[in-house]
Amino acid sequence: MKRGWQAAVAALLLIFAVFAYESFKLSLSDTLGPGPGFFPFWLGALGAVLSVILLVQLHLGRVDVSDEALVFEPAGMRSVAAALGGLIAATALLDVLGFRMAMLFLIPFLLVVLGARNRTAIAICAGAGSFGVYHVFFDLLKVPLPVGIFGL
Amino acid sequence: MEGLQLLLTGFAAALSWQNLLFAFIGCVLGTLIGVLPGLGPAAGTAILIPLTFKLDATGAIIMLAAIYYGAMYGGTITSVLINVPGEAASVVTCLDGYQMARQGRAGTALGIAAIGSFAGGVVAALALAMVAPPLARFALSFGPPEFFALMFLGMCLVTGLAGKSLAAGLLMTIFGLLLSLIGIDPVRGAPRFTFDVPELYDGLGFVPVVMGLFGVAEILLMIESPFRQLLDTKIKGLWPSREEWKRSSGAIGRGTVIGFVLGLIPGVGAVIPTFMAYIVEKRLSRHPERFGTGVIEGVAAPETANNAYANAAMVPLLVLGVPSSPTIAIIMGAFIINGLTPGPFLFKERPDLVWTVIASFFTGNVILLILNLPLVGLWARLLKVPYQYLCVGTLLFCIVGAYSLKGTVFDVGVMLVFGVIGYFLRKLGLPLAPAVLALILGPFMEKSLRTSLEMSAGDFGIFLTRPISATLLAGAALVIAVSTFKFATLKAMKEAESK
Repeated sequence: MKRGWQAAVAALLLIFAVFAYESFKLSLSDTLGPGPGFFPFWLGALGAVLSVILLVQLHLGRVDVSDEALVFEPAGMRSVAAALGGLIAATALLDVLGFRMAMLFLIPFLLVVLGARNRTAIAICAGAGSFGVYHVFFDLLKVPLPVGIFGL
Repeated sequence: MEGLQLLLTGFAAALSWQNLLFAFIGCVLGTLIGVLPGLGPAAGTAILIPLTFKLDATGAIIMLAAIYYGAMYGGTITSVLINVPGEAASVVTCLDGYQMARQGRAGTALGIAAIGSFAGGVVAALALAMVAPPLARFALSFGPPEFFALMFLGMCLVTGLAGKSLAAGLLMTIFGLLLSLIGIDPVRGAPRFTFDVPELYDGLGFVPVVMGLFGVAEILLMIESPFRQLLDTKIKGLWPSREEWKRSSGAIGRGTVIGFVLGLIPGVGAVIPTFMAYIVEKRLSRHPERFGTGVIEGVAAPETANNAYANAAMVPLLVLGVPSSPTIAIIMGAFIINGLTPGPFLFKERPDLVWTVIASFFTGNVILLILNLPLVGLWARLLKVPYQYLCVGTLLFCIVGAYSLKGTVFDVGVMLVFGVIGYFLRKLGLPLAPAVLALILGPFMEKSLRTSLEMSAGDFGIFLTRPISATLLAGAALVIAVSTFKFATLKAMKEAESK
């Protein structure tokens, strides 16, 4: 767990440093008062200082972080990675294929990855989750959803 | 009395069939979310925001508030029936609620939870109506320095009470604040941190970010460690006996007071009032040793405190514009999406909306009671839905919600990125609440700070020379000092124990 915290705080330190650097390029003050860079610069600087302090505290063992290792269950992680892969692919194809087609592929994929085996239930869910949800949101609730190159 | 008169006018609107329908739908969806293990009120409210996009502001807020307290009650059902809290505030209910279920008294436990929730919610809503007008009038005298100091105090409270380390809480607050500043500078109009990405000129959408942090992250955790507990409890006899009524009435009264008072303080969260109500009952009991074995007070007190808290937590949001928890911050997001800024000016400019929403807390609590007493068996059956279908359905809702706000796939990508971030932050135990609160308050805080400094020609003394802002900042300093002391003491105690 300690390693995980160290990695997270180091990532935050990097983010704060980028924000502080980018803010510094904006004006910190002008004739009217504080400029657009004022608030984010000081926040970034404060965040960077606190990150360093926390990293030192973690190194010295002065933060109440569990000694247990961060547990990632291998089988569970494979499902998480596959689900994320499917979600990223569907998102990338959302504008091209349209909501209905993208979901028609994504829903059965996710269900199979998560262990569903009943083909009828999977088919019903795919239909309801793609065409059904589109009908409810687009036609009834008037919420715009993407239409792809096939007009679906 | 002024509050009661205004409340009556609010009732006229809240009892219209449309607003009753919105409250009903909100209660049903909220209870559904609460019943499903893993999805708490924050995730539920974030996921269901898109359903309110096409509603008018009043209807949208009524529905989201109903989802919130519906989810709070729904969490009780899983706590009692399968010893799995639907959300953190229901953890303490497991202690006696599950024991009651094992003794064949699940119905009574759920019945007293519904009745206690109703009593706590209604009394807290009434107290809210009395407290809100004078507080809002007082807050009308606030200028930018006072609002900055108030938001600063709110953030200190949330930061100081969250997580294992004050420094970690502060880091998450700063992270949220910086994310909120992406986009066009609201004062000078300069683009900031957009890295030439056109979609970032409008800033990071609050809805995709919270959907990712709470909804997607929660589902990813559920996918990693699936929930597979089976339900085998039968529910019968919802109405408590005369003896049980006698034992519960005091617990319900005390739970209401504890929940309401603690709900007024930003950052306390729903867990502390429920535990405190439980501990108070145990201390007052003639048989404290029976707590944990299935005593009805052990269910009545925390459940009442939970719902009283949920209603009272609306006070800082409606009156001061400061959300006290991530779920309330999401409801504040819904206000902003509808072009409204919660706070004292809302009472002045849109009293119709404010009082209709407050009146809807009463109607919502009645609907919740009607839904939960006779239909508890139906809710329990939802626990048999295979988790695969639950996960996929929730992810589908998240995609629709993230896309539909601005109609861009970019927001779906933002949601996924923050889903992964939220997943790792949750695994590490880093607090999300300060980041979400900072994300919503960041732009207001920056604007107040810069306007204050423009008023004083750059002199920071303006925050200390005005009595209200000085008092609020002194309060913030006290919170930080107490939190530092708390963390140092806990650390010292642990070290002493290990030796």
